[in-house]
Amino acid sequence: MIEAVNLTKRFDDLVAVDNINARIRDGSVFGLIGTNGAGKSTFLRMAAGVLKPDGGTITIEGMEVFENEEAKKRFFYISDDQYFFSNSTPRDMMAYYQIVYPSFDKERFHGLMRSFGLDENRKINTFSKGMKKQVSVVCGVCAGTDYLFCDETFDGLDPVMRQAVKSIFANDMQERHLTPIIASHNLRELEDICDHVGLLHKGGILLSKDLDEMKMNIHKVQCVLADGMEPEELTGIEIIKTERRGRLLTLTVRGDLNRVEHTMQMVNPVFYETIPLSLEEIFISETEVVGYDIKKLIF
Amino acid sequence: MTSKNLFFKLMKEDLKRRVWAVALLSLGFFFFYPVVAAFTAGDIKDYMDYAKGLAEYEQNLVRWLSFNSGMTVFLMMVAALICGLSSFSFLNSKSKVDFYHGIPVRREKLFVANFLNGILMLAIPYGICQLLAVLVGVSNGASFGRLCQVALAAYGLHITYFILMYSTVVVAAMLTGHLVVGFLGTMVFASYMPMATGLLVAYLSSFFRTYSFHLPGLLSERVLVHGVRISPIAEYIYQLSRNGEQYQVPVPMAGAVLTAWGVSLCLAALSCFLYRKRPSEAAGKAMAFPVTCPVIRILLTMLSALGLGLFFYTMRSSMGWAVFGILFGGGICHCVVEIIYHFDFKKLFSHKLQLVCCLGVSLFVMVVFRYDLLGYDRYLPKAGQVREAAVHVDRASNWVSYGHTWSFPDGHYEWVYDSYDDYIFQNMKYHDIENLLAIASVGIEQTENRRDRTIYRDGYYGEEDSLEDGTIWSQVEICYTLNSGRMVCRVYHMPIDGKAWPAMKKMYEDGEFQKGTFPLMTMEAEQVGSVRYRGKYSKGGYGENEVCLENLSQEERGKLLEAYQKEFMAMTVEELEKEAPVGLIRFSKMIDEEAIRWWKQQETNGYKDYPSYRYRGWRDLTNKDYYPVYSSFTETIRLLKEQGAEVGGYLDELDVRAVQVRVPQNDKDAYGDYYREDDNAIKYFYIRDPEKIEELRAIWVYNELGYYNPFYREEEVEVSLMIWDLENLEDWDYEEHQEEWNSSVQVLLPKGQTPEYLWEEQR
Repeated sequence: MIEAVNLTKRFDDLVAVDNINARIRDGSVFGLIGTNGAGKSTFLRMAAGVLKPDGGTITIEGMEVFENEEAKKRFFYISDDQYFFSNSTPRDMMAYYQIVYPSFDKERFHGLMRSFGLDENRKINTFSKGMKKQVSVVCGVCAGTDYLFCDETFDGLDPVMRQAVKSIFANDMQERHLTPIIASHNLRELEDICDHVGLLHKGGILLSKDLDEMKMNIHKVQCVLADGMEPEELTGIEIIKTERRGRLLTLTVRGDLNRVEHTMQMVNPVFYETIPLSLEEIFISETEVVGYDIKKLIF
Repeated sequence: MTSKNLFFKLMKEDLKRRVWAVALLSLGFFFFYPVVAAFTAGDIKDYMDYAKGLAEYEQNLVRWLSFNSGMTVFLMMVAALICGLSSFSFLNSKSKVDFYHGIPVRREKLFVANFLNGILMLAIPYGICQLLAVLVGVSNGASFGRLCQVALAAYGLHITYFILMYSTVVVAAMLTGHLVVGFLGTMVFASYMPMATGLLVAYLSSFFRTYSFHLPGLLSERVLVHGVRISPIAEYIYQLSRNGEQYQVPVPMAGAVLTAWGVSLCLAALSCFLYRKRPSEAAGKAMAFPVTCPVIRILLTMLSALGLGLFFYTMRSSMGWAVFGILFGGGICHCVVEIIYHFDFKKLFSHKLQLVCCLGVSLFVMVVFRYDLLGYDRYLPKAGQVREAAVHVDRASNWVSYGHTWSFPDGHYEWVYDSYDDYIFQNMKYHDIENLLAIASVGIEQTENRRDRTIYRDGYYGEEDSLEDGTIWSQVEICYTLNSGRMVCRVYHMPIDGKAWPAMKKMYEDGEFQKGTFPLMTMEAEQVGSVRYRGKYSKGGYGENEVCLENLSQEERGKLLEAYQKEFMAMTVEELEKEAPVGLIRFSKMIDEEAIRWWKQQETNGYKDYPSYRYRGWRDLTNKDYYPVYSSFTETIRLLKEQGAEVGGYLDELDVRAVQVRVPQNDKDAYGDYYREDDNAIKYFYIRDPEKIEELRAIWVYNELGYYNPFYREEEVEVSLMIWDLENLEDWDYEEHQEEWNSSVQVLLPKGQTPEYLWEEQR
């Protein structure tokens, strides 16, 4: 488990990460989202031991990360501008990572490179941005670490590649309990990958929740209620938001799905339908509750 | 995988990244060593004598491979920059820092791997190329043993100073976050202390007229030269110059090498510490540690302000220009540093308060020096504060030879000069402090009188002054040893025959002064190897008519030395003013005699074994350590005569045909029509009347003997004795009579004894 306690980082007068408390459980995909400058990269760089926190602590399995070789052996960090040695090939990079990551899986590296259609002996500086990201991900996955820190790694990957990476992650999570931590400014990119999401804004964490939990507890109900009936009369469900278009109501409600459906059946509406919320909609709802206009923050 | 394996693999990977630097250095050393060794081998066949050509080739190769090779120093400096900056250049890029600091390798491990690589990158190509050069030399006939010995010693020394420079570059790289700023930082480290020390010396010598760089004490050359050496490059060059081959004496380098290694180790440890503390976010910034910014800025601004302030002051001797220089130099430096710190031109006037403070302090320093607010030139201790003193009166001892004969490893001998300060300030213990303070008071008064004159316009003291008013000027250097043990030294340019004359005479006649000034006065009888006496003029001027009393017994040598010392020390200044030496005596040591024999032997065999020494050393060695013998030295003269030496009548055997008298025509009243506006205008005339010549013969003094009596009062005319006989001197042809011309002899005429006809003749 990765745990940040009162984590703070300042750059001169700017507070990049402000007193963050977060826990990242093992075996899930943690999405770290936020606008540019929200502190995602700074958080990840501290988690990777690149930056030393000015306040608070960040630990991996209880070990401080900064200048701790043992802690650092547990993760592989892919920065937003991943460095490759000048004039190097993927094979050269593999050779280097093999030295520093004792569990580096060379055979798997060759296999994945073939699967992604990447030439191991081609100079990386001739690769496209997306191909470089693929090389980074392949190296990261093959490093055999427990955690994989990806900073904007999916920015630039096409949907097919994203799916491929997602399936690799799923496989590794299944087989060896890999925990990917993915930072992105684009919520839509993370929707189909993440299990748990943390939202950063201006250096602070707005919320950190399990995605399934959020999805199980929040629903959208489209309905036409019986004549003379108002949504406020629906008892037993917590309505977060109501939109009205003529007689058609779109309600965002919190609570268990069975209970929501039972409540709707009980009031005998003209029509009702429960629709799953997108991650984006869940976030809009959740953050509006705490007083933020998420559209201004993320989209 | 063991940690050891990881370390070596990291080194290997780092070397792979920097293979360009290895290639560059290898190429440089390849051309510089084996190629040059092969190229110069072609010179052997240019010699008629193969053995001579080979010896010359070997000598050149030894010089080329040795520690004294200047080109190697240049290569080492460039290599230190390349290796130092490339070893940690990854710290200047955010993506590289993320990469290297994100992997499970501790910074210390990464540091040591890269640091050692930086050294190996140079050490291996340099070693291989030197070995190749040796092999090339050996294949051409040079001695393997000699080349190997030189190459190995040079390798060790150059690597030592390379590591010192390299460690400094690494410290600069750790303190900065940008390659160019790292380079500038290296330049600052390499030059700041030499420049600051140089500036301090420049201020002291420009504004303090009683300051001398060469005198002992806190601000002396000996102390300040260490300030200059607080720079890896300056230390390297210093050791190189110290190790110069002028005396062919192997200079002990162990202390310097150990110091260099110690300092390098400290710098490496400091670099490692800085690396551990260095924030990763420093990549791309000018300075990695904000705390260093004001320190470096203030130091540079002050140096620049004071430097330009002095520059403008010396150009115009005006405080207005000095202020301009301070404001301009300080302001420009501050702005440039700010722009570099922020990489933003608009930030040039950041930290204005610091700038104002720097300029204010610089102005204050300039005023303190210019107006001597600390009273440096007025320093006069109380007699009770001074334990003892040492004094050097230039006028009294400018004829003394300070030095010794030295036997060199190749078997030849030379005279090695010592500084007069080394002798006098180590040997003199003068205790008549009241008397000395009286002299110093006159010096201070003289200095203060001249304070209002500008320093560089006047070109203030000089012999011209003494010629103008007839006073005797001299440089008087005084070093007080205070009761606390501290040495305080001052130098005065002052007339010594005015107010200071009684005190000066008293001091000159004091045994402590004489023993501290004249090395012969402390010589022991057993040190004397032989006694040489020059009592007759010889045409060559180098002692052909010298008498060498080599058969004297130890007791006789001792008696002669004792008699001379006693009579020399008993002679008063008043006697010196009137009496000229009649001959010169040398109490030579055993080594002096060995050296003289060696040189004579070389001269006899035509320098067959030492052809390069044909024009070196001989004259110096044979004309050193002579002391004057005066006619009043009755006991000395008696002992000399007992041994068969002829004393007196130095120029008696000279067949003088004419006397040329040259008189400076700068006295309008005295010289009437002969007067010239130009001070250098000289009138000369000849005396050919044998009677008049004989009359002059009774008083003239051989010029070279007069040199040994600094207080001798002489007429201000130049007199030459001509040994040729020409009927018409006006038509004299220099080319034709070159030999005769060389035979003229310069003499002095004692003041007040010149026959009246000579003055008549002048007019």
